[in-house]
Amino acid sequence: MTSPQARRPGALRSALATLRRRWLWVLAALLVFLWLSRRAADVALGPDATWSQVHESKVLRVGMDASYPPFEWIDAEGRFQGLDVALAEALAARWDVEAQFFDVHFDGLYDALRTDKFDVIISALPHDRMLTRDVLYSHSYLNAGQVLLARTDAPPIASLEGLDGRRVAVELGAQAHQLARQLARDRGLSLEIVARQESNEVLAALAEGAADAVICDRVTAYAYMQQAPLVQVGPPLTDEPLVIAARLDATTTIREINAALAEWSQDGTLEGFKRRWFQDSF
Amino acid sequence: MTRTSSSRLKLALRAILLLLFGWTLNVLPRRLVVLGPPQTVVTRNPKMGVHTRLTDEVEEWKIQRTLALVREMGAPWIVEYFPWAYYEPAKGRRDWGHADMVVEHALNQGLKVIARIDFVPQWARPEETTFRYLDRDHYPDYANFLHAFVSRYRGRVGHVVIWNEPNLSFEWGYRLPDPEAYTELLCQAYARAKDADPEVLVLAAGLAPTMAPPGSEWGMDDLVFLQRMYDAGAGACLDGLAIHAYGFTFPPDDLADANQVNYARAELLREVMVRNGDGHKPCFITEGGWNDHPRWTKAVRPYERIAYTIRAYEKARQEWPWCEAVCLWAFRYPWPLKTYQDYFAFVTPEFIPKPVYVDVVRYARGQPYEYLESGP
Repeated sequence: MTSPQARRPGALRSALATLRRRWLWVLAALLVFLWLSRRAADVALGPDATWSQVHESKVLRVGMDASYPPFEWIDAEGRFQGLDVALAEALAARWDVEAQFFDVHFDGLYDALRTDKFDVIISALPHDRMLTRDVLYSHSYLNAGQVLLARTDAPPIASLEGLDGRRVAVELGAQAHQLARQLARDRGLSLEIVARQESNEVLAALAEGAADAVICDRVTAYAYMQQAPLVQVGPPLTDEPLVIAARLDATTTIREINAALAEWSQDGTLEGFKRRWFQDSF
Repeated sequence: MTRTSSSRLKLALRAILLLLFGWTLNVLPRRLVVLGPPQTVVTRNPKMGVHTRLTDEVEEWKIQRTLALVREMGAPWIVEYFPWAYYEPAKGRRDWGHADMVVEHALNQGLKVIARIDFVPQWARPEETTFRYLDRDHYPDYANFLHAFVSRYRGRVGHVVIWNEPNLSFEWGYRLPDPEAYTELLCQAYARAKDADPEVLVLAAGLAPTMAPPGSEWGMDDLVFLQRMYDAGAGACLDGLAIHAYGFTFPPDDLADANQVNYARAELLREVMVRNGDGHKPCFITEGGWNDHPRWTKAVRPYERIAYTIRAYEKARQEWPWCEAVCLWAFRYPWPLKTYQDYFAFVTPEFIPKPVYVDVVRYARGQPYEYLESGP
């Protein structure tokens, strides 16, 4: 017979072991639940016909309105070009299939997807919250919203409030023009708006010292930053996430697209695409 | 007083209170938006118009505000879309609430309404087809709806447009465009509309300006489509023609050319009408204009859009006597579409006037421009 003192460590070990076993059971149950939930979702939505079709035919059919350089356009030789084309070709290569492109007017893209004219839409497509029950969207691969760029060779502008008393260049009548007016009004900023008719004139206004900052969209910003000492101030002023769309049952397809986008975002592939295609975008 | 009579009294008092409450609810103003006094449009160009997009605008005050801004811009004409599927969700069961609201407010602002009617309800088309798919068996259903619409708005809506851009496969339910089938639909609709109101003007659909090659899967050249409509007998089934006159990257004064899609292409459609003996019938531009998206290849810079828009209104006033109205696409969307379409709008969803609106107002009033350098 052992003494209570001698039994205590053994009891503690036993209690801890029981606890560990219980936690293991809870964890196992949780994993089973998650797996079943996912299976149930897959069963409810049905098999991903898109994924099967792409791999059986060895072709990824991509719908786009090829009239949006630098995202997509058709060159003089009739070839599809642009960031979205590069993205589609990279996806196709990753899945060991060929990319095939269909040029459809933007208004008809969703209907064409629905009627199986192609497998995915990759077309500088903004996320549309009204359609999330009709199609599946991937994660965003670019926020194309408006940004504020400031000269790095002038007194720094660290935030929007730093624009007070400064001159900001915009394209006359463009979204940036309205946004600059709105910022001045809503935030009470004393802002001199330097409006120019063309994008290159906006950049010239900066170069001539007629403006301290510029408001433009993220795509134009890439090009401006290649050609002038500019830095983006803060996060984008507006959000315009661009996404890839597939049919509602294309769960595997979208999962695989998201995995690719996450990987390419980490390893710099996406950034490389943007630098390559956006550098002359105005 | 016995316990029974006391409880009866209490019950009666409660009933009276309930009735009073109900009466109060009934007499309280249920309508939070009042029409206000009837307005008139003041403008130097009575052909000015816009295509409003109130279809999905739920809130009445926003409908009223939109139409008031149209009136203040100096545009007496609007084209509005009345989707069949919205108003007849089940065969024979019609709900006109939203359409009544739009028409009532438009008329109160002194605007003339051109109604575009399409968008097929689920019950009138097979499963897995798009809202633009209508087969011959259901042409009478469409015609009956049109009859009901024209009857309801007799004397208030004077123009109806039958379908939209049937020369695009997208607008024809992803089938090959079929001018003969469309003409059959037009003729059935025409007969029923005239049954309802002999005075209503039935306009053949605005065709998408396109030079699609013969046999294209996506569309048919609008000039070819219109001629084939006439060959199929459309001349007897239209009182006028709706025209879509988009300028894309070309100024409004560029000459008409069958191998070019520009604003003046409207003149070529007009020539088809004249050639087919319809020179006495009017045309109405029910869509058109310029887009100032920063990257779309068919867009122009924002300052160009302002200048072209104003010139387009003026050109119709000075040079196109056969054109009764120029309704440019699109005045305002209920929410941001976040596509190139947003760059057609005159006013943002938040009612912020875009520079094009500001200078068109000044054109209509004969005042110096705010954005353009030279005045009207």
